[in-house]
Amino acid sequence: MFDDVETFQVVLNDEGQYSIWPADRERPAGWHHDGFTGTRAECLAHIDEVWTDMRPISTRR
Amino acid sequence: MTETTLSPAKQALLERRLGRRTPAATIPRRDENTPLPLSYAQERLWFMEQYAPGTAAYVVPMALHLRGPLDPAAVSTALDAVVARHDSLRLRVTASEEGRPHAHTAAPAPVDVTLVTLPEGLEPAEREERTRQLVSEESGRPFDLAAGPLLRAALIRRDTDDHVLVVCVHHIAADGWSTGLLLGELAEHYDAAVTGDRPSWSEPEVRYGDYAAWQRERIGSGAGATDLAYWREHLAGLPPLELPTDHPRPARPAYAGAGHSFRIDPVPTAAIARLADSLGATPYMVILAAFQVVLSRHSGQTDFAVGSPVAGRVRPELEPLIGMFANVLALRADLSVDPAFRDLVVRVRDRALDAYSHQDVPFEHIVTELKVTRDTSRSPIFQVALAMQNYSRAARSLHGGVTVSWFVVDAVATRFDLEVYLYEYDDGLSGFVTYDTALFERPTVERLMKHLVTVLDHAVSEPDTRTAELRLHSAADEQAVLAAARGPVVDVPASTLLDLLEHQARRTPDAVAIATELGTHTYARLHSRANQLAHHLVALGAGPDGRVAICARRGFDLIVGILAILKSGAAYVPLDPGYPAQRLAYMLSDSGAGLLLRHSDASFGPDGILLDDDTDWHDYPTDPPTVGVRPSDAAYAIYTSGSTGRPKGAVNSHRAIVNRLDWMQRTFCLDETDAVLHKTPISFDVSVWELLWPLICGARLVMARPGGHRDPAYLAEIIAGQRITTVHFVPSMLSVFLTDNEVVVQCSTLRRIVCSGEELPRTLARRCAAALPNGELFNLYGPTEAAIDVSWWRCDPDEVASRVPIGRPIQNVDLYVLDRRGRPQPPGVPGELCIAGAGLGDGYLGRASLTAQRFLPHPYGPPGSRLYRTGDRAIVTSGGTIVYCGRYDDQVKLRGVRIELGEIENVLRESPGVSDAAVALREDVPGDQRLVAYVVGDADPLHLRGRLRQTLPDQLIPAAIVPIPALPLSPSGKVDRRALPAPVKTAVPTTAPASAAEQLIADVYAEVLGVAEVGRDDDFFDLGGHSLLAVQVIARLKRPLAGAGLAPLSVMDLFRAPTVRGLAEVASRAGAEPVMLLHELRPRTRATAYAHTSLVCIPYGGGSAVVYQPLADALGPGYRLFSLALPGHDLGTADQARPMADVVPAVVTEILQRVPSPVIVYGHCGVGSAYALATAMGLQAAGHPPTAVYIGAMFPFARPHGRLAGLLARLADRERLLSDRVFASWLTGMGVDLSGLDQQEIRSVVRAMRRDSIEAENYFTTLYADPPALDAPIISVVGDRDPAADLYRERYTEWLAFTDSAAVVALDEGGHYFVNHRAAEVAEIVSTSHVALAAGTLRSTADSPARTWHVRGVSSPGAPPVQREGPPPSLGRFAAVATSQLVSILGSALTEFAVPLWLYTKTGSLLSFAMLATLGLVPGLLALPLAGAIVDRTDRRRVMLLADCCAGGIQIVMIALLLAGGLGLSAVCVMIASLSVALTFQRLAYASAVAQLVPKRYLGHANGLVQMSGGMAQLVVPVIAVAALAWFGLTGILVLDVASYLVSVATLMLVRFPATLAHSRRETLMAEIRNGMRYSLGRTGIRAMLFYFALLNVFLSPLLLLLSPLAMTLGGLSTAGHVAVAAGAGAFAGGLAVGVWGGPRTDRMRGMLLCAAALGLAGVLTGLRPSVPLIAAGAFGLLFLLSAVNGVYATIVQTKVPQRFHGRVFALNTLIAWSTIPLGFAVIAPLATHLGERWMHSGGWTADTFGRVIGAGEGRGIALVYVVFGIGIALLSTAALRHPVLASFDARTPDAEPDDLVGLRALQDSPVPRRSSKG
Repeated sequence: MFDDVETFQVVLNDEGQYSIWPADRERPAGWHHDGFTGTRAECLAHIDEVWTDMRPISTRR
Repeated sequence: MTETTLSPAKQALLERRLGRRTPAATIPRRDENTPLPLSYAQERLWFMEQYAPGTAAYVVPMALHLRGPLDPAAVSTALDAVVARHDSLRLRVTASEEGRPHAHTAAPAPVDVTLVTLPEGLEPAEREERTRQLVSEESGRPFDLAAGPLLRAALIRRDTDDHVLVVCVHHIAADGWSTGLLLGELAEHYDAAVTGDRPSWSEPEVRYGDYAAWQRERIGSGAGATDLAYWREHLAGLPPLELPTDHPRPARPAYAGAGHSFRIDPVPTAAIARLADSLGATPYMVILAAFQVVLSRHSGQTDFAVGSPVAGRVRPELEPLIGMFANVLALRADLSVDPAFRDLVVRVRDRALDAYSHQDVPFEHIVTELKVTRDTSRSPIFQVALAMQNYSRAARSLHGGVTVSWFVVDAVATRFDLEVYLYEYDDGLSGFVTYDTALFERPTVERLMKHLVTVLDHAVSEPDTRTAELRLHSAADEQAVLAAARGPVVDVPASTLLDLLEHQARRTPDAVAIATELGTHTYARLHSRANQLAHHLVALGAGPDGRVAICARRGFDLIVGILAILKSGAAYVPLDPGYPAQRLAYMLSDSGAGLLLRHSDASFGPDGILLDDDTDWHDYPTDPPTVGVRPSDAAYAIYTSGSTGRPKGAVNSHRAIVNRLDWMQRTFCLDETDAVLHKTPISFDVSVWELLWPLICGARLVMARPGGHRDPAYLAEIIAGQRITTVHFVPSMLSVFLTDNEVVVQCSTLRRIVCSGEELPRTLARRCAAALPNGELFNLYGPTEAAIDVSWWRCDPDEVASRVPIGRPIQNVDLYVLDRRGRPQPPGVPGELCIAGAGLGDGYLGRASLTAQRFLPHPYGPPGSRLYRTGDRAIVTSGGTIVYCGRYDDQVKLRGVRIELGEIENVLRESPGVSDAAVALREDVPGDQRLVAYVVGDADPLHLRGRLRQTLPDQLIPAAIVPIPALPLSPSGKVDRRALPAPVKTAVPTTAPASAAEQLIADVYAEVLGVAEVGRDDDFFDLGGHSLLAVQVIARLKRPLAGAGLAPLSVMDLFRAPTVRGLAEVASRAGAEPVMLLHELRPRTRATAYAHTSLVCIPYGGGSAVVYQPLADALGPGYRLFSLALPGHDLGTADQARPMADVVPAVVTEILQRVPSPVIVYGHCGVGSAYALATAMGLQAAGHPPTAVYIGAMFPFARPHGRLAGLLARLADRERLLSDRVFASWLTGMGVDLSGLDQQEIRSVVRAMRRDSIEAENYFTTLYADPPALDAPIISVVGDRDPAADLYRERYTEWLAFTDSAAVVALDEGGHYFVNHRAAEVAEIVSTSHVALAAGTLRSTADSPARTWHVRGVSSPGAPPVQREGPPPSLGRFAAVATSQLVSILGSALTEFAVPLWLYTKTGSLLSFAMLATLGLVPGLLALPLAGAIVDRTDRRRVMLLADCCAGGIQIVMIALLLAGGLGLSAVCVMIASLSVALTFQRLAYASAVAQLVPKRYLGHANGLVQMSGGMAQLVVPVIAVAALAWFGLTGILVLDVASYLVSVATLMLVRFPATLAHSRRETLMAEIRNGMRYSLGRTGIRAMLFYFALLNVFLSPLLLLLSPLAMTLGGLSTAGHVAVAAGAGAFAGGLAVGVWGGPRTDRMRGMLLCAAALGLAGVLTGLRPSVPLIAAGAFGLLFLLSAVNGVYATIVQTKVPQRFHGRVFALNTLIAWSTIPLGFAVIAPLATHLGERWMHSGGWTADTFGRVIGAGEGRGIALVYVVFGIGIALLSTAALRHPVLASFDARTPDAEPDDLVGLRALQDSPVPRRSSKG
């Protein structure tokens, strides 16, 4: 899926979970753009940097 | 960008395609007298008929519906006329004797028209059906090309004016275009026949034969070369099109087909034409582009070819001919980078035009010339064809108002997977598709065509759409698919796993929760214990949000641990204790688990909480701790294979697993009557439900024992015994489980069998239903990233679909099959399976980017929800079930285990010597999946495998590691896995053994090779077997095979049929074949090519023919190797040993009959050399002398002839007395691996060997009597560390007795059995040395560290003769010297014995006695190294003379002093000390000179004699000494001794020594001791043994020393003499006994220590009473047992130490042992005696205690020493028996490795890198 997509956007949901989505495609509901756009590798590197606490927000204590 | 301009040439071509042709040169008429040629197409069709005869694949059917008043006779006439007019229709093709086609044209003959009349009054539908059936039958009948005719017709009369005419022609005679012509001509001739007019046809300008001749001429002349070059380039690297099929592709096509019609409506047709026009293309090109899009979406490929039939009528004059002109062009699709449809059409256009311009070369010719890889399962190059028929199909009417229309023919055959035909009509396009019914179901093909129409519609209306965006199905269809993707919505209470578990525990506290092999546990007990541990965990900091790891074997503790972790609120991280420690350590640290639960005896886990030791936690309360776990908290994290080279932890929440367990319980309704078997390793998420599901519904959880999950019989036992109702199997294990009927019948309690983990084959599902009719089978699916399973399927055994679906989503889970753009695929089209909903996992522990990449925003789900991409390919069927179709990426599943190939590749790439690596899952044999690794670089695959084993679990170890020069790459630069070669060898179990014999053999393989399971097609050698193991296999099979009534097998059988199946066949085939003596050993590593030389090899004594397999493997391709299987030598065979005199002539005959000359003979060791020589002589006598004879590790050896010498030799032949066991020990030391053979087998090997050895000696003995002259050279090959080949630099010349040309080659560091371990060098030696010798270029080579073998001596007629001064060695010379030495040795022994005694009798001082004894021993010992060095460097005779003179001189001085009365203590001391030094020199020089004196072939016997005489001296001396002392006094003895020296000196003066090599030490004594120290002290067992000996001698030496003094307390000298004789006899008898007995078989150390303990008791006995007989008996016992101790010790060294270290170990032991003797002699003995005498003297303080027992008074002090020291020895030995190192010595210390392996390592370890090279 999305193997031939070149540019992605970094997105996150209300649980603070990150993912990527093709830059030119409409984001599925409930997902927000975190502002970062780039190649798949760039986006994933960015996610590694910002997503440090991987627990869903609702489960954090 | 769209390109619409065309080059002028292409424009012209296009115009021609569009019907505007330019005339070309005509085809010439062929010479009618030449044989009729076939066109390429005809030839191919003829071939296809031969290849797959009797199919209707090449029948061209034509059915016409004729309505109106038809004249059947006129139809017949018309058919006759058409056949008469066209040669092609009268073609016959026969096959010549060489299998070539032979064509001719038959004379015109009437066509046989079958008339069928349908019964009247049929319903229209029925009439239609009957007609269709008849047409199908007619077109389904094959033709006979040889017999003809190739056209047949049937007229079906349906009603008065309603007929259907079926005309069938073989494709070799007509093509599609021809059918139009045929119809036209038929009509014309019919009209003529009815009206009586003559038809207006003129004769054709050319005939088909002219065309065929012209085509062959054109292609043959090279005009087709350019075309061919184009196709070669165009089709390079083309992969086959792999559409998802409904049924697995059969190995060979059946050519059975069916058809389906469809329409393309007018509007799109017009749009197609418009788009084509605007792009300079044809409508066909537009449709082809759309078809490519559909095929690409269905197959997932962007590169494949579609066949495009063309009419092939390349000249106008061919157009009116009926015949096979059609050609087919392979148009390659290119859908890379997702072009807009418009651009795709342009691509198709350009490729099509290029192809048209090269269409003159027939497709058949391309297939032949391109050498396309033959894949018999599919058509070559393309598998799908698309044709647009533009020839006339217009209907016309016949005379008399008969209308003609086409009657649709059901296709009954097809040559391709799919063939699509489009016909243009006014109202659009009609389509007809035929498909291979073996592959596809009709709905699939219908859907495919529907997709074609949808795509075409979309594409021509929006041609700028990218191809990936083109819709295969409508928006409405898409919504329906999305709706079907959602699983049933079920309301699951928001609870945690903990809630469910606790709830059940409260409900049934006293029910049995757990059953293990050790007992049962109630719910209450389980929970109370888990609660205690949970409190402990909480106290240690565990809680929600945290993780706790558990690494424990299956059992009650495991489930207690898991529950405890859950109860603490933490998530559990299961770690499989079977994993390598490195991997476990990684997982533990990666998981961030702060705590680890483990067993106390676990090898992994440095500081964990102990499950089986509750010391730390049994005080905690038994009620659960209070922890606030929420459904969203993590419940477990399981590690799964990772592409980054590291496993990754997938986390699942309580909510997800609760939903999954809730589903399972709702679906299967488990209750307290159920029992679930837990047998899945905890690293596999199936274990989660196995463990927890029964515990939340009150069922019994039965735990299989650790490791039990692999054992079908055990599983069946536990299933039956525990009344298991529910069990999980990975399909491959289920298959194994079902194989054994006996196993299965026990399992009647099974109600549900759950499969998951890998694809469930349909056949297995059926087998399961048949075998377990009471059990329902379920197929479940789910990745670790979700809570266990997400889909399920109840298997119906009657279902016909080829693949068992993974079913439908479970409750609250959605499963989508999405395309590359993330949209749902229509049914039937594969896409990526994606998971959403309640079962979804949380992601990967600590892997943000990986989680983000795999868990995507869910485009069709609730806001903010996620979707997991599984990477699995799947299809949704039209029925809505999901079918799994494999993996997208490199991740594969093998036997249920998910494997990231990248992980294995990474480990390989990180290994030294590997520059690149690829791993693939292959299925070269259907159903046999295996991992194969490909490595680039010079790393050794075996080494790599070892490395992989250190880091990867077993499932990830490739079955084969294949070195390749470079990895094949695809154009995009990725590794082209398709191009990776199949590994040559196979190693993974395939199918289970099928018969009792196969099972027997497979079991033995598994046992011997230490592998878990062996399949029937597994090759023994691929599994790691080698020749020594082969012997074990045969030995172990012997009895069971006989028990099963099968023929015995030989080792050779195993080599010839190494698979289980093959060997079983051999065993079942009773020995019907004639027995062959010679067996060809073929190299296992390469094919045998043309050979120029044959090597005939004779194995060493006791060896089987297969010992030469390594040599066969190492020899160059020009050699064949035949090895002799000596009758009676192969274990397991029944054949009897035969005498050499019988065998040799038979071998010679067999060589002359079977073995291609020239022949080289190689024989190893004694037996091999004798047979080799005899065989060579035999061949020479038969007139076919061998080229050369090579003799390994042996020189001639013979028994001395002459009556006395022979008798003496026989007497001295101690070997005859030795037991087989002693020989076996010796063999082990030499490097023969006898492990794994039972005693009887070892004995049979040893017996054969001894018998052979005697026979060989007899042979050489007689050979010397009448030496023959061999024309071939004899070349010795020896190991320079082999004692059997000592003195090889000289001994090789002994071959000159039988030939005039000899040489010797020595392997550095070589031992005795170098053919096993140094085969590569031996191969070099035997292929080069004799050639160089014959050429006169073989020279002794200087030592070079760059070589591992050297030529050490050459003696050929051309070379200078070996210069030898002095007399030749002879038996007489040896006898003279030996006798004189015996005399002098006796003399000195007498002196040494008598002098201390004399002194003792004179002084009564034990101290002096002991000192003298020490002085007689120690100086000589100290002089040993110096003496050794001098002896080795100088003339032995001179040393002996000098030593004799000195010894004699010393004695003369002693006589003088004695007579003068001045022989005081100090003088005696000096004399004795000097004497011992002189004697050391004498003995060393003599021992070394024996080799010089005697002809070396008698060396063995000579050494035996020397040893015997030494032993005799020991026995005789005390008797003589005592007598002599009594009769002559000391003076007399000294005189005797002087006289003996005079004899000795005189003899030495007279006898000249030959200038031959003497024995010399390999290393100096000091070096030996030094190296021995290094060797022995590094080995715990041997070190302990040495220390034991050192201690033992402290006690023992006084006992040996004080025998005479003790005796003399009771009597005089004579008493001492009697006791000494008893002691000597004891020593002799002890040596003999150990020789005959052979020592203990297994527990040798124990045996030795027991002997030593007994020795202590003998010491006690000696001192017990003041009685001479008792003392004599004690002395006898002491020495007897001492000999036994020494004998057993020698076998210990022989079996546990490699041969080359024996000398060192013995030397060191002697040093250590003797180092304590002076202590014992000089200090302890006198001191103890002194004390003892004082204490035991009447009035002494022990006189009343000990004295009562052993007697008090004079001399009893010595007796006390015996008692005390004897007890000391016994205690010491008993303590040693209990010492851990010595107690476990026999078990712990491995047997010596083969000496040659040690040598090989020495070579490798040498500082200069050595390589084998030409000497």
